[in-house]
Amino acid sequence: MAAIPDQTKLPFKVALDVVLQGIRIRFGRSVVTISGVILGVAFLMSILSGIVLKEGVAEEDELRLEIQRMQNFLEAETGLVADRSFAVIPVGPLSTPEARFLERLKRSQASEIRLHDPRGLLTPAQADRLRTLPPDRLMEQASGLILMGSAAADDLDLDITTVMTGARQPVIALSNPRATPPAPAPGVSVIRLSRELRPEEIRAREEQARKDRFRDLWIIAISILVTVIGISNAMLMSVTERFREIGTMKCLGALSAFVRRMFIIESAIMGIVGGLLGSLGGFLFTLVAYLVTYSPGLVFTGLGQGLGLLAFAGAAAVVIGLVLSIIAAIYPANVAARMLPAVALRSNV
Amino acid sequence: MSDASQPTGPSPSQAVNRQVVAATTVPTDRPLTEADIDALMAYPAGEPPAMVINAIDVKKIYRQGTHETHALRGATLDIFKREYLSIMGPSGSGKSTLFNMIGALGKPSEGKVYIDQVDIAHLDTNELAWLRCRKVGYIFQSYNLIQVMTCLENVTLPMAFAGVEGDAARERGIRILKLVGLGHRILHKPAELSGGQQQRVAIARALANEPEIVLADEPTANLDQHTGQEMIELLARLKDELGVTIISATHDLKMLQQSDRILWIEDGRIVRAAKPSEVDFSSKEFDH
Ligand SMILES: Nc1ncnc2c1ncn2[C@@H]1O[C@H](COP(=O)(O)OP(=O)(O)OP(=O)(O)O)[C@@H](O)[C@H]1O
Ligand SMILES: [Mg+2]
Repeated sequence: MAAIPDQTKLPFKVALDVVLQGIRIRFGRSVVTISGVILGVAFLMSILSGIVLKEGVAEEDELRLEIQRMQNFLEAETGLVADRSFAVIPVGPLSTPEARFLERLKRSQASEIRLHDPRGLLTPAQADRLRTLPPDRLMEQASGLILMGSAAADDLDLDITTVMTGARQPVIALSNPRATPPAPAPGVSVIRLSRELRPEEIRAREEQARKDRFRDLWIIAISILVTVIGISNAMLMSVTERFREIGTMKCLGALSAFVRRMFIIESAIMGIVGGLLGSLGGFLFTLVAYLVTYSPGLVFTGLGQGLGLLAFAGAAAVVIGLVLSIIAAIYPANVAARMLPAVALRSNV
Repeated sequence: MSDASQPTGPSPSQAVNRQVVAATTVPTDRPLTEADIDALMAYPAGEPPAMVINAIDVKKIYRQGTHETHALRGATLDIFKREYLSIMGPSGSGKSTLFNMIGALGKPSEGKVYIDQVDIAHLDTNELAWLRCRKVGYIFQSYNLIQVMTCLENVTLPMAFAGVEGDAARERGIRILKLVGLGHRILHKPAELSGGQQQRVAIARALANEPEIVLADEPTANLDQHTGQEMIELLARLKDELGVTIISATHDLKMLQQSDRILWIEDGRIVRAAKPSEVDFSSKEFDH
């Protein structure tokens, strides 16, 4: 024999077939390996979605607190809102807390909410169920006038004394912290329902936010590490325990490239399946945990706000799972592929 | 070596033209001399046949930490085309190691192995894979079947590596499995088979790509008398009809009697060579 030809290079499909068949037959073992990937990715994903949900919930929490505070301040001056009437005059567009506060008032036990909106600042939805009255009848038997929005009340050219005629309680409440109070009128008390944060409060909050962000990053780093170790371990085990099989295949004429390709395909399949299931599982786990501790409304509002971020986190978790699986499999597969068949045959790891 | 009929390429151990007929034994208490090797390797009779495998002074040392095991201490042998060669030796004498070396599954620590006059140390991994796939069929002592595959898949796997697939491979696989008497078991996994049946799957797999050389490490160790006999006859038929070279480690009397030549290996050295006709099989060396 003059020269020995090169061994046939097998098409991708052959490797895929061998892999799929292997996964099918080794189903129990494959499930264990995939579970390793699932657990790793699920852990990462539950941390990531926890952070996203917490953010949303925190914002919503803050908002609800703020509204509650506004109502508390109002009631401190007027008594419980139940069975009382209030009047609203928007002086500028409503901020989110103000809009929500108005909603809350509408849903409260207050007997009537009246409206004077000469500039048409409220949206139809906001104005819904409010009773529009002319300025001079606005406060008849009412317990308080709420000026909403951040412009100066005097811009409206209203005569406060006229407006206040017939009021049960001559109270003017400013719902926007940046609103300028109207010129003082005799017998009328002006209160603020919310106030700007003081600089040291803002600093303290920023400090806290920075700490939180740092802690989140730390937790993400740790969870990625846990994921790396979990997945590497699962893939490493599944390859090394097959050294003997690899050795046998090499004795039968398998090329190193074929062995390598086989394991890359296999780990990619495991990585994708495990990554998808893991990220879904991790997300659902966190969601349920939040639903148990927070009200569903709060959680879903937070979820709605963080949806983009969540999708990104999910995609990242899947990619991390996939890439890690392949990397963790390549190294031992390479070692095995390069082994002399006689050596691979005898290795029992 | 100046014989013109000699195939080109390396001509390893000058064995071809020697006409030594007598059974030969060399002492083990001193290193082998040229003359000893010549005597051991001489082909018994007639026409000098072509060689398929030559091993020259092959040594194999396994190192585990500081511990060294000299599994082969300089094995030199020539194996001829269409030969049915049996190798005998006590456990641990280096039979499996020798098979690994002449079958291109491992690297000798020292010495050279030629398959069809090609020094396998000069082959790259692709060429080695080709060789292992088509030229040599291995029957391993511990079978080395792939546990997750069915018998049929085990047999068709080397065909897939040779580029034969689908129905062609399936048909051939079934035919070979029938040949070893496992036609009714093709879809079973190795774990569901008896030791002897697994051994037969290993034999079938070795024949998958119609190799020119079959390396059989104790191929009948786990077979009952009857199937053992059948396998021996199968191997003999392959040799006679297809010109396959059979090299087998065995203690099986029937197998020894069938073979053309018997080599004895002891402590990593080949110490004796003989034709079956020269061997007294009734001596107590052969009763176990
Ligand atoms: N991979 C290895 N690492 C270390 N030592 C080995 C290795 N393979 C074989 N040996 C040693 O080399 C020697 C020869 O082993 P080998 O398997 O070739 O013997 P054998 O003749 O086939 O024996 P048996 O009849 O029991 O199969 C033994 O001492 C064995 O322990
Ligand atoms: Mg052995």
